[in-house]
Amino acid sequence: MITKEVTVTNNAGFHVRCSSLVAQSAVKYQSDIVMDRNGKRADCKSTLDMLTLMCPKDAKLVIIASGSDEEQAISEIVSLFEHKFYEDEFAPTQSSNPTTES
Amino acid sequence: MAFSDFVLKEAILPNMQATTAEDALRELVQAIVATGSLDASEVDATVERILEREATGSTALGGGAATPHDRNSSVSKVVTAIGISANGVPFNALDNRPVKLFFLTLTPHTLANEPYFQVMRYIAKSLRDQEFTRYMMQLSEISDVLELLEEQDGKN
Repeated sequence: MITKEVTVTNNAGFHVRCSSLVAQSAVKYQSDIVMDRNGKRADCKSTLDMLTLMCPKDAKLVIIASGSDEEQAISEIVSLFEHKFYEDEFAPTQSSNPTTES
Repeated sequence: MAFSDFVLKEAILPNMQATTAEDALRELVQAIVATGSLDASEVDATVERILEREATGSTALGGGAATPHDRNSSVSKVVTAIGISANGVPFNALDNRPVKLFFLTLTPHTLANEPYFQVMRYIAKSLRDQEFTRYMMQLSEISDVLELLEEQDGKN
């Protein structure tokens, strides 16, 4: 089993499209892959499951992979976070309220 | 939170006619325009933006539901239209299933992410109830949709 903490760095936070990209990556692997946020877990192969963990920029998530291809699986998913999911255009243009963790 | 906090009752379409993703998005966005919550001049640009982002990552959640969304300068709060398609619409879902249940959400341009996240988490929580999702896809009357949403509010 491999565990890796990631930080949400894209301004738009971890949202629907990010979940979709994680799921698209995760389903390629045989390993069980889950995402944990403050003790709440979601299956990384389910976009819907991960939506329940939607969170803003700077939130921290833990990716846990277990299986024969766990290293490749975690590497690919972590890379998505590191590349800010290759898009940021859903971020607010000018924040009128401070974002808060929930 | 309750569905009534963000779902526009007048933008519930239990009998969508669209057969393509673009037409489905247009139908839903026009429903929001009809409520007065969005300017009609925004329809084309909104649909185009949503389609562009769908190409980079689908908002189809699997199981026949999708949550397309956009930021828009002419809405004043987070609003959602609901659409039900009896035959389903191809929407590039991971499970390749056509989408029969749409929750299309528009967020004000300058609003921070958290109100939108709250709405999406609420929708996701409801869609994880497979009974709710299955029943929603079978409905064809607005009154029945409203009743089911209220019932789900009680469970959430």
